[in-house]
Amino acid sequence: MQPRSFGSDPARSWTDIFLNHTYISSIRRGFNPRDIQEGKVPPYCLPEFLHEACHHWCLLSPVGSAWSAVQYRTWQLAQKNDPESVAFFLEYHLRLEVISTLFNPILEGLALLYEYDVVPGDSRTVSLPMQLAAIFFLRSDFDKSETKDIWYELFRALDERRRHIDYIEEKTELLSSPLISPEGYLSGYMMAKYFCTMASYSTRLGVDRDLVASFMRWYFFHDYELVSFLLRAPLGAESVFPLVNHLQKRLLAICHIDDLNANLEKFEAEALRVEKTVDDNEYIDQDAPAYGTDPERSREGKRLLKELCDSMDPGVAFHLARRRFLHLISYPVSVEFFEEERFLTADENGPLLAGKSSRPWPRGTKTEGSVEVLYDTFLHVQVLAVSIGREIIHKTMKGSEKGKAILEGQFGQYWISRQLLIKDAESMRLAVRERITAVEKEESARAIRKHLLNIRDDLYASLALAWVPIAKRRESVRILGSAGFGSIYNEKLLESLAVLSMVDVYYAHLEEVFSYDPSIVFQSDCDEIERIGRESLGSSPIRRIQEKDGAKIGTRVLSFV
Amino acid sequence: MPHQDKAGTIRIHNLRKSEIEELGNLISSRQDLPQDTCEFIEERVEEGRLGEPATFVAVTLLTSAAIAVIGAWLLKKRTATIVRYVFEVEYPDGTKQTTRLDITQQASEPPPAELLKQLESLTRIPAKEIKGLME
Repeated sequence: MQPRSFGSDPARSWTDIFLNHTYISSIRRGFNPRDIQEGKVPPYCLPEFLHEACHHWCLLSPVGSAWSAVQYRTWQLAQKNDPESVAFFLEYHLRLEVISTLFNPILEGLALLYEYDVVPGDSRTVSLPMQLAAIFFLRSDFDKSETKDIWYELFRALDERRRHIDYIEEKTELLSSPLISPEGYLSGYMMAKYFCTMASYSTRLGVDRDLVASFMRWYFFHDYELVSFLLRAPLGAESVFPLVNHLQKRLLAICHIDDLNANLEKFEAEALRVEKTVDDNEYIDQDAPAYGTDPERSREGKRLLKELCDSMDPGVAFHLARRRFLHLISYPVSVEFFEEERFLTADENGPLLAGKSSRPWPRGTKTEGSVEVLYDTFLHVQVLAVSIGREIIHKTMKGSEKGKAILEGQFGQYWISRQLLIKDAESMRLAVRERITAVEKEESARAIRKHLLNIRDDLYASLALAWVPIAKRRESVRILGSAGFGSIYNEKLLESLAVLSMVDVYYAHLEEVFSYDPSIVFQSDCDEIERIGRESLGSSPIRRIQEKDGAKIGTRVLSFV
Repeated sequence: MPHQDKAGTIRIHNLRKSEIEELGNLISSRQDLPQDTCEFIEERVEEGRLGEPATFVAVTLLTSAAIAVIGAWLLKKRTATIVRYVFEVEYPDGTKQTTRLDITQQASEPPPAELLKQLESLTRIPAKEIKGLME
């Protein structure tokens, strides 16, 4: 039974893979949309916001677009009954299973990294989630070319928020979740954290976690070789194995990149170049393929992606190429016209906002509509839209004059194509479900699925525990499998571990943390955490390192959780 | 969960797994409450979507005994945590309310008294009645 939510608002945030539409449950009814536009979203919404903004950003990529396109292809094939379409459906469906099974943990891992660990650093490039956090939680008139003051302000805001007990409790819960699970929250997070921690310790640029996390995103989601595996013409169900092998190879290789500092530098330069040109919406041609990908296959991937967008229904192609809108809030309202072109909206809590409509309506008209706040992540323009049915009756935009002018010409078409897709999506999903029931009986599909689950569990467990000696890894997976670190640490130590993992993020010395709030974590907690970790797993999830900062010697924490 | 005509319902969203265990244990320890007083449901995300780590919703009838348990559970929580929960109430007359409780900013009354006041406002059950059943 699903709980019926009176306001029709689910309480769990999500990001839709096909539409790249986000729902952030803590930014919900009761919020004035104008406050959202003004950058006044309350700090307690930050965790979910960063989590979903990261998902949106990862899916706003060549791999995200290819994934979405393959999904649409399965929807089209599910409505045909000829043998060739049925066979092609099976193959594309298996490709989706492969990518979602093997990629969901890294998607969740990156999102959790942004929730708990990433802060803006000294790099010349700043990630989209950090930019969006500044716009919606600090001030909406932030401009990318602004000085570094805004980033320091965001750093302080994140630091303050992450010291909040709610954050620590949330992290504690994550650390005590199963290491092996279908969504892969803990294993994906630990894999991402391990890479970040090693980068911060072993490279000069790696101290900038935003840069490192951005590099991870680029590595996995600008992989045009992966795009080619997803989009190539059907070759039979077993042709899915090269896709599996490729994903395994990419996942295993990320922690063995040669000269990571030089590659971070190269990536930073590339990110700046794309930032300057992305306004033209021509990113496929100009985008540099990710580190370590095969150039020829990458060229094939780019060609296939562009061909696919050209061949689809123009509305869908338009939408696939423009899954760039981040949705902040969307909910139904009543709309009343008290003058021909002036209206007032209201929800269950009372009047909400008033405005001028784009055309006259009969005075006294009362009807149902919706209010939405979204953000164009390419043009950096905010839109507050009030609509009745498919018609936008009011729209206000905030952003550069150039950005607003471009979006003015595109927004109407985007709106209509999205409405049509949402409407068709449910019937297409139903057709897919029915077709999946039929193909589940295929022996090859069942065998591939079982193989995938084994690969996922083994792969991510090994990646998450890269800091554990190889000889102890299998046993450690068994110990942490069902309750994570809750299997070896009591509640108090788990909480202390969560706090120490935050200390790691802010490069604070332990001594400062103790003086800041001695009740949070004690020296003895550190000793116990390390002792129990070494005894149970062969290694501690934290390392204490003495380092000199000028004349001062302090204890720094490296955390793998 | 036993059905009662004309009883309202209260749902508490955004609970973590450890919290449903806490609430469940508190209900179990009360002799005056049926064991199925509260239903705990994982809030699922639809297929084709990436969801944040699982959260749960507690669903119970809007009775003074159930609210007393919820109040006792909330009093054990850190005051700053309480604002995370979303309370949805459907009253016996069919009207509805969705809100959060916030007892962190209230300087005029200590948290227990402020919590009772806000629970009374939310549930329309007198604070005295709730408090009496909490003790």
